[in-house]
Amino acid sequence: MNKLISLEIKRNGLKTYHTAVLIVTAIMLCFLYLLAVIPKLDPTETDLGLFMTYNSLTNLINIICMVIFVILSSVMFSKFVVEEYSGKRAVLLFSYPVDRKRILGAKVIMVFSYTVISMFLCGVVIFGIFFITENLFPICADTLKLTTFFSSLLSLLCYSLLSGVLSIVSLWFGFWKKSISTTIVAAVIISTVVCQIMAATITYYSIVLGVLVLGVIAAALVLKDLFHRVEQMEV
Amino acid sequence: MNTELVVSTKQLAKAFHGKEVIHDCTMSVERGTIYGFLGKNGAGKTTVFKILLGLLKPSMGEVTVLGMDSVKNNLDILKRTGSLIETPLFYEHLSAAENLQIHLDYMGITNADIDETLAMVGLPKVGAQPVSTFSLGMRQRLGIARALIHKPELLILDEPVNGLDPVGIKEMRELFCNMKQTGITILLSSHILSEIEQTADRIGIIVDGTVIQEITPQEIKEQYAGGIEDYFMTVVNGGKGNE
Repeated sequence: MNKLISLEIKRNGLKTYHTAVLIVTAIMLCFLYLLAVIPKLDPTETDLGLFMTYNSLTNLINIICMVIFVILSSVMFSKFVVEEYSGKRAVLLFSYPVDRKRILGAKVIMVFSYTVISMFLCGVVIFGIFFITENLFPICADTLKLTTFFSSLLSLLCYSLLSGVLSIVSLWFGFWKKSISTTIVAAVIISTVVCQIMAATITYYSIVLGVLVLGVIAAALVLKDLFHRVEQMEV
Repeated sequence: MNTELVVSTKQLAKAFHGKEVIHDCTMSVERGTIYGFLGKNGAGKTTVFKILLGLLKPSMGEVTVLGMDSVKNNLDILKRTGSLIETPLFYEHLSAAENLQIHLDYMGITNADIDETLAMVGLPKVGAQPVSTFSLGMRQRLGIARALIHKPELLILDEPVNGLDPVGIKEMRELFCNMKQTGITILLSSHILSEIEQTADRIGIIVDGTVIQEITPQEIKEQYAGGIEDYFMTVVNGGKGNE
């Protein structure tokens, strides 16, 4: 499987996605500082409680990052899966003496892992820089504790896994329609809906875990169907 | 003489959405020979090739490739077969050598000589060049290189000389004949009748999804004064020989 994954990377390359992740990291770091500074800009405003604790700030960033990474992942799935199984390129793919399920499995593992790991690292960098500067020159009124950092990482891990899982669900729509735009539109819709749920229940970790479990079940069903489709595919 | 069949189909049929495009198709290809597949556009040549490679599943009939069932033993067949189906596709941003290396990696081959293969198909010194800069003819040659680099026992080539100039066609003809000398069986289709006549040991004519006749170029010469063109037009238009 490792060999198949490295062949996928060799064939398609990840340079563009690395650049995208770096840009997202920089923008989200700036955005986090912007959110943290908002209560200071208007101290009389009473509706800014969401931006006054580290917990809600980091969760907000996690939710926004989740949406971005689901879309990024859907772009990768479009390139690595939808495009390759559509039209003439599938003839080439199926001409290799490798089990079709293993090739698809390698692609899914590769994109899922890339999404989860890159989002997690992106979050670690953002929160790492933010918490270091907060320790030295605090902007947020909240008290910074070590547990805040670790709970942010735990939440980040959950959201990273969720972004990987949701992108697999969006892949199903794209594969079904054999369309790159459908994959991306599905990712935008799914991530926006989940984003709304998460934003409404921002500090309830049980909701995050609940959605994650539901997402894993949906992704498992999607993968079962995708493997069956690929096995039966005629090109 | 007892000859080994590398490809054999019996009453093969294939339907798409209820419409039968291949029916009662029976053909056989002997080991170490070149089999030319002739037919009009849409006659079913590519569909038959795809069935042999397991890219399509037959609706009915038996298909044996290299002594194995084409559906049950698909991966074993693919390991021992090289193919060029329709227009060859490549990873455009990669070089010709990198494209071949990826193919070898998927085939599980470690000891193939990429430069030698590229030279064999008339593409020396372009191994490092990105495929995006290749002309149609160069792509076709690279497609042939990819089909034969892992030294297959059977080569299935759909319109292999498409886009090649007369020099290229001649070179490919010589290459196929040399490969036949090494024991490789070649199954190829072409619209260029004279090409098939000069290259093939046996010719199969497919009309509306059925192989209606298998004949040798020698037999065509003996039976048809106008050569292969006369023979092809008579068979395809009349559905039977000029008897």
